[in-house]
Formats: sequence, C-alpha cells, structure tokens
Amino acid sequence: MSRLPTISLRVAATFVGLAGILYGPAWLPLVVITLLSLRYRAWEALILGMCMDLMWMQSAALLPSMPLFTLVSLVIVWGLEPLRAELMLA
Amino acid sequence: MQYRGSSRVGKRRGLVLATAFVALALIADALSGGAVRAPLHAGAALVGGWVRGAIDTMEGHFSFGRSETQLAALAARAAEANRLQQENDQLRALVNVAANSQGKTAPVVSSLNASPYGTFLIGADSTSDIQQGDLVLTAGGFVIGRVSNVQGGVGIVSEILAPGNSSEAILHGAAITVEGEGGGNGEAEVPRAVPVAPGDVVTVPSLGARAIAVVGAIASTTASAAQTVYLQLPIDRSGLEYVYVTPSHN
Repeated sequence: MSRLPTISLRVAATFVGLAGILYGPAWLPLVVITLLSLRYRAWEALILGMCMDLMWMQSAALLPSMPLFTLVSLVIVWGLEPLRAELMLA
Repeated sequence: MQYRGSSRVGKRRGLVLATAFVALALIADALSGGAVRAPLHAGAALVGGWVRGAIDTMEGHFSFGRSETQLAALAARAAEANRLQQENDQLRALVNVAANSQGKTAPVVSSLNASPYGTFLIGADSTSDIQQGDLVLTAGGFVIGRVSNVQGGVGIVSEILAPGNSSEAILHGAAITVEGEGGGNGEAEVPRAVPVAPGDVVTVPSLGARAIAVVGAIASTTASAAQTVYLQLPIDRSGLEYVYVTPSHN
C-alpha cells in the first residue's frame, strides 16, 4: 500500500488540528489527536497537544497552570499503543 | 517475528523521541519565561492578520454571483470600508475609556473562543509599553482580564472569567465570589435578601472598583438561603478587535 495517502492524511489532520488550535473550539484538536492516535503512532499528536498549551496557557511557569493538553495527548497516544500493537495497524 | 518486533521498536522510538522533545520544550519554556512560546504567538498573530485580510477580500469578490471585474472591485472596496467603519466605531468607543484612565489601545490578534484556559492574545509591540499585570478593558469599561505575559510583540491576556478563576466582587453592596466558567460567563451565590435583577453590574474592588460582568439570569428556590446569579461579560466576543490596556494602579 502506498505511503503517500497515509502521509497526506496525517499532514491534513495535523493542519486541521493546528487550525483548530488557533480558531476552533478546544475539542477540535482533541478529536484530531484521538483520531490520529487511533490509527497511527502519531508523534504529531504530541506536538499538537504541546502547541495547544504553549499557545494558550496563562503563564510560562509549569505551575499554577498545568499543561493539560500535553498531558492528555500523552495519555491518549501512549494509552492507545497496546491497541495499535494488538491490531498491528501501525 | 523478530523483524516485525524490531520494526515496532523502531517505530516506537519515534514516539519516545517526540515525548522527550515535548517535555524538554515545556521545561525550556518554563525556565526561560516563555521564550519558546513567543515565536508561536508571533506566528499566530501573523496568521490572524492574513486570515482577516483574506476574509475581507473574499467578502468583496464572492458577494456577487458573477466575477465581473468592476463590480467585484467595488464590492471589495465596500467590504474594506465596512471593516474600517467598524474599526473606527470600536476605536471611538475606546476614547471614552481613555478619558478616564491612562493606557493604550491594543489590537486583539487571536480568537477569544479558541483557548481552553480563558486566554487570548493582543498586540503589544515595544512602543505600547504594555506590561505584565496591566488591566485589559472593553469599550464599555468592563475589565476583560489581565496581561499575564508579554513577549515578542504579543501579550497574552488571562480573562477574569476564565474557567477556575475566582474573584471577590460586589453586587448591590453584597460581597460575593464570582466563579469563572469561561466564554465570558461566570456565576456567584448571592444571599436571597439582596435584590438582584438582570443587567445589574458586578464590580471588583481590587480592580479599582471596575465592572467585570452584568447579571444575565437568576436562579433561586424557596428552600435555599442563596440565589445563584449567572453573570456575563457584555461584549461581542467574535467581533472584538480592540481593547484598552491600562496599568493596574490606575
């Protein structure tokens, strides 16, 4: 199977996620992160979570505001790893 | 089997590296005081300007069914004129706020609804003298939030009514605690003896007795000694283009 559609799909989803970070509701990047993580070992999902926090967190310090989206994306990406491995999707 | 296993380990290595990169980036951002996020904010402000310009252009060119050159050009100019009129109206309204307190007008360079943390970005170049802790006001004199960080020509504003934020406020002389819910909304518990009506203004003494919201709705039951007051910031969040920034001691 060609890798080009896979790469195109991941790139497109990443752009949708980035647009969601800038202009969309907060759940849109979360949906993109989840869909990417279900299908691929998507490192870009972690980057999207990090960008969401770097873009909108109130202060630069880790406390008092925790990087919630980064933590959630880590949980989703690594949490779905056994499922991906079992289904041998990626 | 071994080949498949080693392939899987190799692919997982990418995730491990990405995880390490994310952790290091966040730590570097925290230790540097926001140096990592500054280019992100600057890029977002730039993209925001492009998007706004593209929308103005498209409004002019696609408002008519056919792309007749002269009509399209006139429509584009009309759309730009409308935009300039709206900007003028917003800036004129801010003149009233400027008359009462010193400060500067700043453009809003991001969406007010995209952040899950109740924040948004404003333009804060080196000539604006906008500093951390400054208050951000609407044209009506309501406090939207405080500047929590300024870097790279962009300031990040934390909304007073951000999710999880609490503010000690005054409503009809009664001391209340306003709990932010995001989206310019908040709620508070007010004793039933206090006469509250929709439209009443909530002020915060620590912000120079400035208003932060108005009462939108009230919910009370006879069994409770308190009434729940739902508050909202009376602005058009999708159309806000300029805010007024004033030092907090003003």
